Amino acid sequence: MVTVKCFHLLRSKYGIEELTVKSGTVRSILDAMKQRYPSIDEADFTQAIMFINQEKVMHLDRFDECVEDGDVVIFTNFVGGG
Amino acid sequence: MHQFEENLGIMNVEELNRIKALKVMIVGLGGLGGHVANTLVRLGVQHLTLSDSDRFTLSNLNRQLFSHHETINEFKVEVVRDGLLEINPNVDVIVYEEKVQHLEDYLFADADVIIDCVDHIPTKLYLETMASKAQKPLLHGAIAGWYGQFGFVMPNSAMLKELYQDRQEGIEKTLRSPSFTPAIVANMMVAELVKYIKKDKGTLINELASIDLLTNEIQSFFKR
Repeated sequence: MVTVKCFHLLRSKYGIEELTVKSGTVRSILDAMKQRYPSIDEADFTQAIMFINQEKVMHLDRFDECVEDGDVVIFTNFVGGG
Repeated sequence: MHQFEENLGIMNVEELNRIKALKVMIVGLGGLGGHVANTLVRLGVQHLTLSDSDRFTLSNLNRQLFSHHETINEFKVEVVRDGLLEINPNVDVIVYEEKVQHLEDYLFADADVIIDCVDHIPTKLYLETMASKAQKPLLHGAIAGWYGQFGFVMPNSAMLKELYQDRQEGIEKTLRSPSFTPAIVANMMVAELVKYIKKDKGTLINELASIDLLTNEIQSFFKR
């Protein structure tokens, strides 16, 4: 299983703090999240970035990448203001 | 009695002396940079280089320290320098009213720490490259709406390049910059600098933390 956490906009908009989903591709993880939170607008996620175990950064155009059992995924947004 | 004695509850005199001797370069004197500069001087920092080519405008007044109706149209670095000298007349402040891309390489090499307070992602990446080239730590900060992020990016880690990749802007475009977030994130950045000077194990080194003022949470999200 994969632990998924949402930060920032995704957390406040959808009320998602943390959930557990089956391992698989980024695509399958997003689909599992949409099943549980049907109001999810995928556009919000395609603007987000994803971290796996606080290391690997994925911009969400790589839906075929695999996420392994035990991984912790964080979805968050860019912040670039000063 | 001296100006910095109230800081001595969290640091010793030797650490305060290290802070006084530190040469700090702040790039971007807007929301984050004004607060960072103010707190650094109140902390005891005495050697500052400030770089920003902008002048204060009316829309800066909601959040940018040192911006007032009477300083509109003045160069930010000059107004901030004058404000810092009022806090501590002994502080040595050098200002550059030009884009950081026009500064000479030796200015980066002369600094002990470079602080990223800019609001433009390509410039953040430029700072990461220059800090790496000079082998100096880059203290990164960024904000948008209720949210912020901060932490030290060390030479050759290329964390910002990996984080931002080819993106030009983030959620700050829509969430913008409210009055309170820059002040909070700026002061968290300064707290990291103090921890760095103290060699505290909790310092965010090659680690970025995210702050969410809606949920009152601070969480580490990216490590090297």
